[in-house]
Amino acid sequence: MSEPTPELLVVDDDADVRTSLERGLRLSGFAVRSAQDGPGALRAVHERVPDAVVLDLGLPGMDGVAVVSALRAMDHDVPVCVLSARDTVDDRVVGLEAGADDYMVKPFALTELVARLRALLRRGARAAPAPATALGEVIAVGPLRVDLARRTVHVGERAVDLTKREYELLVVLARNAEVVLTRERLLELVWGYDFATDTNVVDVFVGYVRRKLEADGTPRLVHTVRGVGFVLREGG
Amino acid sequence: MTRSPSLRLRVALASALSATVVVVLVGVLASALLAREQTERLDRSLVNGSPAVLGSFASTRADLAVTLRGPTGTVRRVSGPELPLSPIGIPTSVTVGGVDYRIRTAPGPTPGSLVTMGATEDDTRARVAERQRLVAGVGVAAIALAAGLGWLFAGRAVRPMRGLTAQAATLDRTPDTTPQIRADGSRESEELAEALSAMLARLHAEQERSTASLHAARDFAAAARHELRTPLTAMRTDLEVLRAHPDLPERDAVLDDVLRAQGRVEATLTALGQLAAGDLPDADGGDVVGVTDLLRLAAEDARRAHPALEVVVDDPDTCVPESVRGALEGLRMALANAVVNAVRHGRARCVRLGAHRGDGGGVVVTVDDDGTGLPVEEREAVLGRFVRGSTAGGPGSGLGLALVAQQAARHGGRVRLEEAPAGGLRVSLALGPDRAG
Repeated sequence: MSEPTPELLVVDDDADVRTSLERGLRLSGFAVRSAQDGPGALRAVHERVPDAVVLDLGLPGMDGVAVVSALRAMDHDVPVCVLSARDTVDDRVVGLEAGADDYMVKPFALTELVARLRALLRRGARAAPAPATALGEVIAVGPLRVDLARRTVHVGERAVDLTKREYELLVVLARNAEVVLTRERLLELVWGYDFATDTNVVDVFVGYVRRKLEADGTPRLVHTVRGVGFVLREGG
Repeated sequence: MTRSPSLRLRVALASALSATVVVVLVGVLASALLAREQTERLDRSLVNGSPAVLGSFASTRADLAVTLRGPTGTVRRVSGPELPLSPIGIPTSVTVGGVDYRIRTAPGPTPGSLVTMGATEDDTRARVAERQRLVAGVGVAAIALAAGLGWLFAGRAVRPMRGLTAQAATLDRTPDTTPQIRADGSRESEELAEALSAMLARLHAEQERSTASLHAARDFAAAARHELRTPLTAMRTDLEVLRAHPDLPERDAVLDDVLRAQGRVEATLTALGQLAAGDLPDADGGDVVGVTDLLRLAAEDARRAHPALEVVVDDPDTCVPESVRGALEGLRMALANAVVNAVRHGRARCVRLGAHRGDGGGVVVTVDDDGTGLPVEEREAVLGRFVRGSTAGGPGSGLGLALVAQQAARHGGRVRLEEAPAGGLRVSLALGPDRAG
C-alpha cells in the first residue's frame, strides 16, 4: 500500500495544544502543518490545500467561524473539523453552520479525532471524482426537488442554499424517502463514521436542513422518529 | 379566603353610624322638648276665670271639662265629667273615665269654692306624635344621606388606593426599568406611593446588582472552564500518544509537555482560588505592613522564583509613609505576579522594586522591568480577567495582572501600567491614602 500520507492543517492559538496535536496526529499517520491564527491558516491553505483542517474556534482576531466561511467562500470543500473549548450549543452550531463538517469539544480523545478525520478523508476521496448519478436525475418528494446533476435543491419554486454536508444529508434522506434512518446509519452514510461515536452532529445538521427547507412556512418534510432516527416524507 | 369589607363600605357604614348617633340624640331631645312645650301650652290654656264663663266656654268644647266645688266640697256645677281635686295652682295629669286629662284647680269666685278645669291630652299627644314622626323621618333620611355621601366621598378617597393596587399588579411586567408608583389624591396615598417607590427602587437596584454579579459569575465560570480546557486538551493528547507509543524516542519531551500542561492547570486553579479569596471582604482592617519589609519580601520571592533574574530594591524616599494597613500576603502575591509578568511576557532580565509617595498621599509600590513593554492601547485591557496582551510570551493564565488589580482595589487603590525608566513596563500599585500609617 503506497497511499500518499494525508496532510492536515492544525490551527490553534495555544502553542501547547498545537505541539501536542501536531505530534499526536503525526504519530497517527498524518502529515501535519500548523498555523496559529486565522490569516495564517488561510495563507497555509493558499500555499497548498491540505486534505483536512482541524480548526480551533476560539482564535484571537479572525475566529474559526470566519476561517470556515472564508474557506467555503473560496470554494474549498476540504473537510473541516472544528474544536471548541466552550460547551454551549451556540458555539457548536455556529461553526457547523458556516460550513464545517464536524465538531469536537476540548478536551477530546485523540483516537476519536483520528477516526473521524480518516472517515472524512475516505469519503472526500471517494465522493469527489464520482458524480455517480445519471445526468438529469431528480429526486422529488412533495414540494422538494433535488437535482443531483446540478446539485441544486428547490422547495416549490424557491431555491434552497445548502452547505456541502447539509446537501449530502438531504440527498441520503431523499433517496431513502419513507425509510426511517437511524443516527448511526446517517453518520455512516453522510459522514462515513462506521464506528461507534458519541456525537449529536446528526441532530444539529437535521436542524439546519429543516430550518432552510421550512424557511417560507413549508410543512415539515424531515421528521424525527422518536427513539429511532429521521425520515423524509410528505405529511406527518 | 374571606376578604374584609372594602374601605369604601366601611367609610359609608361609619358615616351612617355617626349620623344615627347624632339623629337619635337630637331626636330624643327634640321630642322631649316638643312634649314639654305642648304640655306647657296645654297648661296655659287652663286659665283662671269665672265658673260661668268657663262653664259656657267649656260646654262648647268637648275636650274641656269644668268642675266647681263649694266650700263644703259639694260639686256645684259641672261641665263634662267630674274632675278630681288637685293641688291648687299646679297642673296635674289624671285619668277620668279612661280619658287622660290635664287639670288645674284654682280658687273659685266665692270664698271657699274651688274651680277645677281640665283638658283632654289626646290632641296634644297626637300633635306631639305627629311631630316626632316627622323628626324620625328626617332623621332616617339624614342617616341614609350620610351613608350615601360617605360611600360617594370614600369612593373618591380610595381612588388613589385603587390606582396603587392596579400599578402594583402590573409591576412585574416591566422589570427593565425602575418602577415609579404614583397615587396623587391624598397625602397618605402619596406618602405610601413614595415609600413604595423608594422600596421598589431599592429592590430594583439590589436585583440589578445580583443579576450583574450572576452574569459576571457565569461569564467567569465559562472563561475559567475554557481556560482549563486548553491545557487539558494538550495533556490528554500527550497521554494518549504515550499510551499508543510506549517506545517513543521523544518520550521525555512528551512527558515534559504533560508536566507543563499540568503546571498550567495548577497555576490557573491557584490564580482562581486567589481571585475568589480576594473577592472576599477583609474581616479586620488588615495588618500593619512595613513598606521596606514588603519590598524586601517581594524581592526574596522574586529571586527564589526566578534565579536568573536580577532583582534590585530601591530604598523608599523618606517622605513615604513607613507602613500601610493591608493584607501582607495579598500584597506579596500581587508583587510576585507583577514580577512573573515581567519575566514571562516582558522577557525581562532585571526588575527594580521601589516605593514613592502617591499624589493624594498614600504609597505607590512600583515594579519596573527592562523587558519588551506593552503597547499603550493594551495597558488597560490586560488588567481584565483572562485577557492576555498581544506580546504575551509563554503560556499564562491571563489572570496575573488581574490579581494585581484586584489587590489594589482591595487596598483602596488602583494599578497603572506605564513606561518604565529602563524601557520596559512599570506596574504601579497605588494603595489608598487612608491605608497609610
